[in-house]
Amino acid sequence: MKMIKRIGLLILIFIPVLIHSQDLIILRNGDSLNCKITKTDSLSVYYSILKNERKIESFMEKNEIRSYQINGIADSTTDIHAVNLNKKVQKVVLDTTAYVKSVSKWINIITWSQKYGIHANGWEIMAYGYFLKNDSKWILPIIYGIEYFTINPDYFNQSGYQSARINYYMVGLSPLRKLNDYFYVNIGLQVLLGSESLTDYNGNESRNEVFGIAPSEGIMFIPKSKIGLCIGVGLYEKLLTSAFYQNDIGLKLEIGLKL
Amino acid sequence: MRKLVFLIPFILFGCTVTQRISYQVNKLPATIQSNTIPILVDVRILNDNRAQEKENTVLFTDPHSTKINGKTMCINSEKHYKKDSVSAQMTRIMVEHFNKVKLFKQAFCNNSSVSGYYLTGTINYFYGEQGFSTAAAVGAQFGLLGALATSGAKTPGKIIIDISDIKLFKNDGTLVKDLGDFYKEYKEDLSADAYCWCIYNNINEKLKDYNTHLVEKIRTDLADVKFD
Repeated sequence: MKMIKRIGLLILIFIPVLIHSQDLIILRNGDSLNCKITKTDSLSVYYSILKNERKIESFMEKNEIRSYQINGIADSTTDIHAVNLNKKVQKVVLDTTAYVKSVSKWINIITWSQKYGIHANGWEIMAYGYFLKNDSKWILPIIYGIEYFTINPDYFNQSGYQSARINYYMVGLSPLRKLNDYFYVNIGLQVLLGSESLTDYNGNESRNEVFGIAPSEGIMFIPKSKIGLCIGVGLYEKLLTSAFYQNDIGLKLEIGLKL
Repeated sequence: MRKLVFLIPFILFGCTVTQRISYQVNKLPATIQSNTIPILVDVRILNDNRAQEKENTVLFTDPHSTKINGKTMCINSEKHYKKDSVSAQMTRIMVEHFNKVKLFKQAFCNNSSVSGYYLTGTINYFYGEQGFSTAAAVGAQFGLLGALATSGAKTPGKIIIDISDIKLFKNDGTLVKDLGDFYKEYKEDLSADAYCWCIYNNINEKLKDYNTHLVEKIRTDLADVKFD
């Protein structure tokens, strides 16, 4: 009788172990997976599972996993199961900060700028588009823009021309360097290619090709939120082969919207 | 004086038409010599069972840019794996991988003259699909700057690699170990380009990851096997 009671007690003890022979993996996205964990290492968890009545083995990177729980009898071939020899149930909660995955998202910004130069004042509308990556401090935006400015009359009068007009394209790079979650340094260098039409006081018209460079430096505030106000301030310079507008340096105040 | 200035970004992305199943094994981490399984193994060309799986049909019938459920998708269409069969290419890179990480004393590809053992398996899936990237396509219209700016473009993708019936035999046909089926389904955002070629590179990268884990599985499974 005493023996039967002991056997009954042993069965009662082992029933939960038998029922909970499956292990559990909980993913960072909230999904869970009932499986048999066969091995873990520093980066991955290996497991077996039944899929369409087929026993398959697979694996999962730890950066996808929030926690995993190992139940049942140990498998001495793996480290984690070796631990289980002494402890039938083990739950492992991963330090998710150690397995942060690289993500990127597309950002659009439209800005309006007021430009104050020593030789010309004007405005500018720019559209920035770029991928913001969580693991990179540098951003290379794609930029479209239109700029309009008026040369100061005192400066233009020194040129000896009655009227002039210049059109040019600017091509170059204007990367952003992330300082923190909100502030970015903007250092750019554009090449200017275009032409100018000149009319002197005798009414003679001429046309020249124009080349130049236009560096810029500034700082921008860009909010982390999906939509928000952006503010920037910076300096710009221009060096051109123009007959009436050879150089300029100025201050740029920028305000815009992140979309 | 008035001036209008347009900042013009530009250009483009290259493309390759004939694709290979390959990746750089040189960058694989070195392994500890003591983990090497001390046998010479001939890896037989994997059996190709992909045509039996319904989901793979599109790979054999459609071009690399196609519509799946009404959406434009990029797939690793079979048409561009021209030089050699998928199974031969997968076997070859698997052997290169095994040798680089010294899984076995030496692995050979379909050459049993000196090996004492051979490994077999069946490919059920080598399937890759991802969404077409409109951002990359737009960026490509604006030249180098556009391509650079959208070089980080990603689209949701799915890659399945499945090799079943992985078995290690002695040369006389005696089964040494049934290593079972090894399956991996990747569902994540994958790098995209304007012309749908990136899926081939993406699946190669995932194959590298798959083989890396396959090596670990084989190492573990054979840890308790005594070899002559």
